[in-house]
Amino acid sequence: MKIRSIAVRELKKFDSPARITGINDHLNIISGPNEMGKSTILSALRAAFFSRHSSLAQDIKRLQNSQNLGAPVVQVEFDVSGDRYQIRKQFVKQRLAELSLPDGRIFRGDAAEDEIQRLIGFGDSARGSVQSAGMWNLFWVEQGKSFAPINVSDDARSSLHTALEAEVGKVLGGRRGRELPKIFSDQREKFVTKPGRERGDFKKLGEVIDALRDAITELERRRENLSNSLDDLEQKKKDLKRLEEDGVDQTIQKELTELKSKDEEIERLALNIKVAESDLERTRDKLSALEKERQDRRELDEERRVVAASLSDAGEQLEGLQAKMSAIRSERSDCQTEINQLDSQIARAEKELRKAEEILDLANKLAQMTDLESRIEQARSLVQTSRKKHAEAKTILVTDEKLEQIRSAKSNLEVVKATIKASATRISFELNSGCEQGIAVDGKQIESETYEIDTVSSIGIDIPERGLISVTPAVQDEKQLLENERTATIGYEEALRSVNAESLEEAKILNLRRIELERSAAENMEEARRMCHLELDQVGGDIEAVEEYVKQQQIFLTQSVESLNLTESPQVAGAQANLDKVKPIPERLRSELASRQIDMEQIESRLTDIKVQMAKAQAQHEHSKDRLNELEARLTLLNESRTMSDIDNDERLLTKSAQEQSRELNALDTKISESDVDMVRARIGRLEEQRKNRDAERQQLREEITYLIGHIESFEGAGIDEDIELKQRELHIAESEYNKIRQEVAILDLLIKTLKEAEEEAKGKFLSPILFRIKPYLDTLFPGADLELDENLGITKIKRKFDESFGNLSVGTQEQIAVLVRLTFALMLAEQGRPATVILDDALVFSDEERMEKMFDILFDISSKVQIIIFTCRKSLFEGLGGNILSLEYPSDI
Amino acid sequence: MAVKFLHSADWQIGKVFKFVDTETMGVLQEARLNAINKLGKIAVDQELGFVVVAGDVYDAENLSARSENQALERMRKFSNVQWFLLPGNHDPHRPNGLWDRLRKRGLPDNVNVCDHAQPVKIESDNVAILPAPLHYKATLRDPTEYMDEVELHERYIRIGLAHGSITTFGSDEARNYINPGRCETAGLAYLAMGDWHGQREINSRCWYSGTPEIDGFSVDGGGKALIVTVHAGTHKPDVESVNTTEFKWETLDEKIYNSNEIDLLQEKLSNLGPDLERILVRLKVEGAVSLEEHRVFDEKIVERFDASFRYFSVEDEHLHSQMTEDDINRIDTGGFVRKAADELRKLAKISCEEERRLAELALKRLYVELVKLET
Repeated sequence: MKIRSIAVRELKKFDSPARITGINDHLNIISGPNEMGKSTILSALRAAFFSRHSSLAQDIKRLQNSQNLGAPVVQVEFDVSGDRYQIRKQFVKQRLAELSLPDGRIFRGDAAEDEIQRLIGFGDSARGSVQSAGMWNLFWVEQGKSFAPINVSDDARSSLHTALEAEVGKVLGGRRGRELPKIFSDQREKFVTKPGRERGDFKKLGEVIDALRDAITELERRRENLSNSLDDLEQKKKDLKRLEEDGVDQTIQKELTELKSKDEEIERLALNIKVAESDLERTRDKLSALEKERQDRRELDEERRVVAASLSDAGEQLEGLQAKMSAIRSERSDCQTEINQLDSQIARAEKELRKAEEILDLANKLAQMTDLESRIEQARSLVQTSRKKHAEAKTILVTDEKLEQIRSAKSNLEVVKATIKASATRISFELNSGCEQGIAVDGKQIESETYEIDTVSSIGIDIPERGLISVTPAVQDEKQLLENERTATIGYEEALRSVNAESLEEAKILNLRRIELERSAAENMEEARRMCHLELDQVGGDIEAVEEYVKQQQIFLTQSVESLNLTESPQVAGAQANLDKVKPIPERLRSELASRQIDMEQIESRLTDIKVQMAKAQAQHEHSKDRLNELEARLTLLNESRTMSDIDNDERLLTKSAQEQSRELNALDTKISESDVDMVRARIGRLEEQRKNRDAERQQLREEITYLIGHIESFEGAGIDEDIELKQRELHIAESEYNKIRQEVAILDLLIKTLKEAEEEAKGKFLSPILFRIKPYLDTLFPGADLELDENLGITKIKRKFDESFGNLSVGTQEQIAVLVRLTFALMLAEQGRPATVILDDALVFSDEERMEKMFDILFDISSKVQIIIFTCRKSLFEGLGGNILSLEYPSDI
Repeated sequence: MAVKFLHSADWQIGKVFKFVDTETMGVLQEARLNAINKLGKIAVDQELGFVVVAGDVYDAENLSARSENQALERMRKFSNVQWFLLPGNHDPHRPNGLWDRLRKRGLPDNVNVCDHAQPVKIESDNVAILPAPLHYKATLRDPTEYMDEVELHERYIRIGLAHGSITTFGSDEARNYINPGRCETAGLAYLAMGDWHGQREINSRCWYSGTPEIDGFSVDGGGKALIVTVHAGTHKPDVESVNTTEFKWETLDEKIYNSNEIDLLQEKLSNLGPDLERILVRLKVEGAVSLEEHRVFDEKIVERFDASFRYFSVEDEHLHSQMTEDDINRIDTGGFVRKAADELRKLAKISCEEERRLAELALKRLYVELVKLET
């Protein structure tokens, strides 16, 4: 479809007729200021095509002009497949619809509505509301909507899907395709959660199966227990019967009776043996006592002998120690004497040393005084010289100040002379050799062939034989100049006289002389002070004070010489030699003393050791003496009570008695060993144990049988087998059901996965016609970028350096992309021969100049295949688009 | 002189049927009890002096008291009929076990438990029953051995009663083995055998009566009893088989490759008996059908007969779905659903058995759901 003209009347702001004509196949621009009615034109177009004339819906009523509330009329001429149609509709009042066909026929009313619907292709569902104009909503973009995300309605999507499938074939699944994954997901979610965990009946079945398995295990355990109890009972009854009927108890009793009789006889024999053993033991004890007594006496005698020897040794040791102690004491006395002598020698040597040091000190001081006297003499001479020079300097009158005054006076004079010279007239003579003779200037004879004279006054040149030449310079202030010269000359001469000098040079020489004398005098005085500076600092006065100090020192030193009993003043070298000689003597003596003191300490130590040894030896001696007395007393007492001979007799008698008792005991042992007592008692023990065990075993069996009967009877009618069978049946059914559901889930998982994969692949293929067409335009705007659409044809993201969500892009970029997608949809439809006029109302308001230029290029390119109508208030900008510029006309009627 | 009696075995009262629903299990258990009534009625109608039950009266040693008593009460009702019950491998006699318990509880006067290997004489008929009770679920000794040594007055007709197998199945240590030549060695006029649930003649004097009510799909010749007439001397017994079962257990192996065969199967199943509720069916199908045919199979066979039979089991793991062009076009002519269907079809051809089965079921499911969406 291509729109050719639009006319309105009494529609919204148009209270009078208005129209746009001359709309061509390509790019049409309708520009005008705000409030001109551009958006109203778009509303009128929508009403003409998509609103039923009979509708009284609010959006239709809103088409009325608010002033006159007349009947809104819209009339549109358009071409379909090259044929011209005209639709005219009047709303709200005297409602009508007329569609004029190229062949002259006119459809009216609903017939017109149906035909227009067929011509431009949209479904019934779109009728009645301009908001649901199907695919056209995508292409006719109202003011302020161009930058919003594209909302593709179901019918628009259907149209686009049809177009896409026309190029790539059928790849989407249609309604069934959309519903199937949901059906399978819903079915799956009855059994498992999304991550695959069991839920609902499936989960309960799993729990039931676990519970049944546990119950069966428990029942089988109980059945096993019962079965074992039955087996046990049978076996235990057999065992009890055997124990009661096998006759073993009687045999055991008979044998026990016989064995116990035999055991009593053995008991009697054993008693006799014990008596015999007891007698023999007593005799042996007595023998042992005798032997012990003999041994004790031997030990006492031996100890007495050892103690006596020890006493003798202690006495000898004491004597030896006393001798040693006397020798050491003598040695200590000698050593003490030596120490005392060394102490005296050290005192003397130290006294000699102190005297030698005092003499050396005195010698040094005497030498210093001699040196000081010499220096004072030299200093005194220097002071006298200094004073002479100073006096001479005082006689010279030239000072630096005076000299400066002379220089100034001379300078002034030279300035005056130079001034006169500058004003003077020079008279030069260059005479032949010898011709100067006789020529006088102002009466003064010239003396050479060449002569010059500068003069400001009249001058007479007397030339012999020729006469007088008078020269008068033309100087106006001749007198002043000459007066200046005279005054300056007087000043200069007075300055020289004040210092008794003839010239400036002489004055300079005199001044230098004065300075030299003063400097030399100062140096001599300084030298004199330097020679005695220590003493000067010490006495705090001048040379004379120092001389007084020397005198006093000499008196003191003389007294020192006398006090030291010296016959003459000591010399430094002799005093030093004497000191060097006596100085090491005290140290050597002290060393010797220290050595003697060490010897003394060692002697004291040895003396102490001897004393300790003597104390020990003394104690040992005393102890041995006491023990010896004690032992001798005990031996005497024992011998008095029983002699050793008595002991020997008693031993012989007891030994004989023991031999007789031993023979008797052996006879009894032989007799009892023949009775095999151990075997008899072991057998009795074994038989009694056997009888006891059998009794216990019978008792045990009876108790166990009672228990087992009770245990088995407690199970009577319990129906464990039946319970197990029933539980196993339940388990079988539950497991079957569980496996069925598991298989069901597996089937659904497979279906969901397969459908999802197929759908994703289909989507990629499905969108390719759009993405292919949009790519070059996208590259123009955003070089290298790719666009991603979802299966509902919504824009999801743009891929540049990284993925950017469409919603996160700037408004300007969103608008450009959205317009581009709309244009691409239209381009695809147009290329397939479907109606696809694009209308943009005040679009691209957020684009910068560069992007706008690129968008213009794109619009221009697409308009070669798609009719585009642009409403804009920015006339000058859109003139650059290069389209067909249109404007509103206002005819008298339409 | 001749004696006529009824030979039965393997009642297995209290048996639990794991694979059926609870209601059906109740019905099948009730049928086993009803079999006692039928046997009693035959004994009364045929004027049989007694009934011998050759083992496995009960399914287990420890049933509920109700299960144990229900069988006794049924027998008690036929007071003129003497019942001789032999402990079998399912209900062996053990001290203080099942049979002691029943005896302690009080057996009906007409019920005799042959729990000892010793002759039980029926003086009125000059018959001595030589029972071979089992004391364990399995024994390696032939429990009928003792019969060779039993000495009885020659006026007694010796009737053996045993439970076990007459074949060793190749094992040297066969359990509960019964020597089929025992009749000759022990001078038995007849050896009434139990254990095999199908009725079978081992020799002219030795028979398995089979269970009176069939209890499994693998039971061949079950649901019967034997009316036995034994004669004094060397005459061979007369043996007559009588039907006693209430339920039929049918196993069908079918091959299906097209819709006609589905229709034929439908007809075959419909004609299995006049009362389908008394029939249990295990149907094994193999073959290959289209998705649509598979859907029809589910509808006409699985869904319909599941409601008709007492029990209906369909094992169709080997009934493969082969997607035809019609099937695939019905799913979709294009689009990702068609693509997914193609993927599943591919998976069903190249995957391992388990994945292949899963892919086939998924494909079938996809087809069914799409058909539902169409409607």
